Amino acid sequence: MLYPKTIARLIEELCSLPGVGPKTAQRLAFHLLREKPERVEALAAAMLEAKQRIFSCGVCQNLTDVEPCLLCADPARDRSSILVVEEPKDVLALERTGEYRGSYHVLHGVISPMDGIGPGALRIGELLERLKDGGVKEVILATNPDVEGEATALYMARLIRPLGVRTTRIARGIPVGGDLDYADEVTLARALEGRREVG
Amino acid sequence: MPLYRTEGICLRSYELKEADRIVVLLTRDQGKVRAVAKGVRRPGSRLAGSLLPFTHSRLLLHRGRELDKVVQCEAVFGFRALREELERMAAASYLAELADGFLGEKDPNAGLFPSFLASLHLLAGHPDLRHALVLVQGLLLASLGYRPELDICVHCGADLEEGREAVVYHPGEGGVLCGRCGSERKGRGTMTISRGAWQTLRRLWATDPGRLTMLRPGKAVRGEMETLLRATMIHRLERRPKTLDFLDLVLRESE
Repeated sequence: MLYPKTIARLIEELCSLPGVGPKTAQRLAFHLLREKPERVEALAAAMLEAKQRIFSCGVCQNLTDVEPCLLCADPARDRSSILVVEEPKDVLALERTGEYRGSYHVLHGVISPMDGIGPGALRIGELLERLKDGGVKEVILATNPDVEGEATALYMARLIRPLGVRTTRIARGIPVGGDLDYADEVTLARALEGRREVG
Repeated sequence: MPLYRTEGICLRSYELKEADRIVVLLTRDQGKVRAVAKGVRRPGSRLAGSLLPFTHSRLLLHRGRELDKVVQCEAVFGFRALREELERMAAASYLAELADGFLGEKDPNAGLFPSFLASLHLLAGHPDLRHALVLVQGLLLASLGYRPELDICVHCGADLEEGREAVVYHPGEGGVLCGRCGSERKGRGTMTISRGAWQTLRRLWATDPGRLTMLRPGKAVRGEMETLLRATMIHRLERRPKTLDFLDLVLRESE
């Protein structure tokens, strides 16, 4: 490569980030080199601090810097219900709705047979541990409605139901603000199945 | 023409950027095609439901330099059972991984699409999934041109002797070995199958695909056929399919 070794290494490291190809890595590297030293130091320090201080909550497995995490420590949360999500970002999405007041469990992935990811790679054992004391009345499976998410939900339901805990799946169908005319057949079929009485 | 119409079955997909996916499609007339589906990860996407894995769809695609682009898509058959029943989903994933692994891009194979579609119908609706799995693996090998030689010794060309209790099969050599060649190669990648399994395998590849469900081997013979077919798949693919561990896990747990 024509670049000095230090720049080449920076580009190579940036290239290892998800969604960053060689061209983007090159653009980011030159942006960093043009920035003031204190800006770059702040960025590097933030990355290091996050890596050193963030860990998985011992209860819900969400990312946190305190043990237990703020949601698990909140006495106002309903501990009889656990909402299971794929990733930490899904907790944020659900919290933004302001509709759910129970607790969470983050799996950190989904079963993806074609990628060789089986149930053993997820935090399913930790969830089953939480169900042992009998305080949980409902587990809501909120994995994505794609093949991997469905497989994960089906597999977990199979493990949870014998424990006598109510196991539910989030609804699927027409999105709010959507147009029936533009909905595909699979979504429409699901929406019809999940219809509810009005009024 | 940059735009073309075809029918396809989504084998798998990968996330791309914020809301897109790359879908790997088995098409009726273009072979395996990789195409970008823009915005399919957004809740309101018009393409999302028709591009779920194992869905048979009618597609309008735009030819690109490296990747094509999905312009329109309409589901023909959704194969819901393959997404809502864990064992069937695992079996369909195995079949899709095999097809994806065996096929090069845009290398049309006229017989493969209807055979793959028939296989998905078998996996979705057959009351005995293990039985269906044997049949679809046989169908896939046949439509790819990988059907093992079962009539003559693949090493010396001799007819297989009648009346033998067991037959030696060599996945690497692509077929059966006569008594002499089999003894010489014993333990060197060979496997022995019963006469019953050998005869049922011959019938499997001699039967019209539409009448395959008439073939009903017993549990022991089916187990031998399964072992042979898997060994052949692994040899042809040059690796163990990633989906096999999960498939075995859910099949074991469902027993």
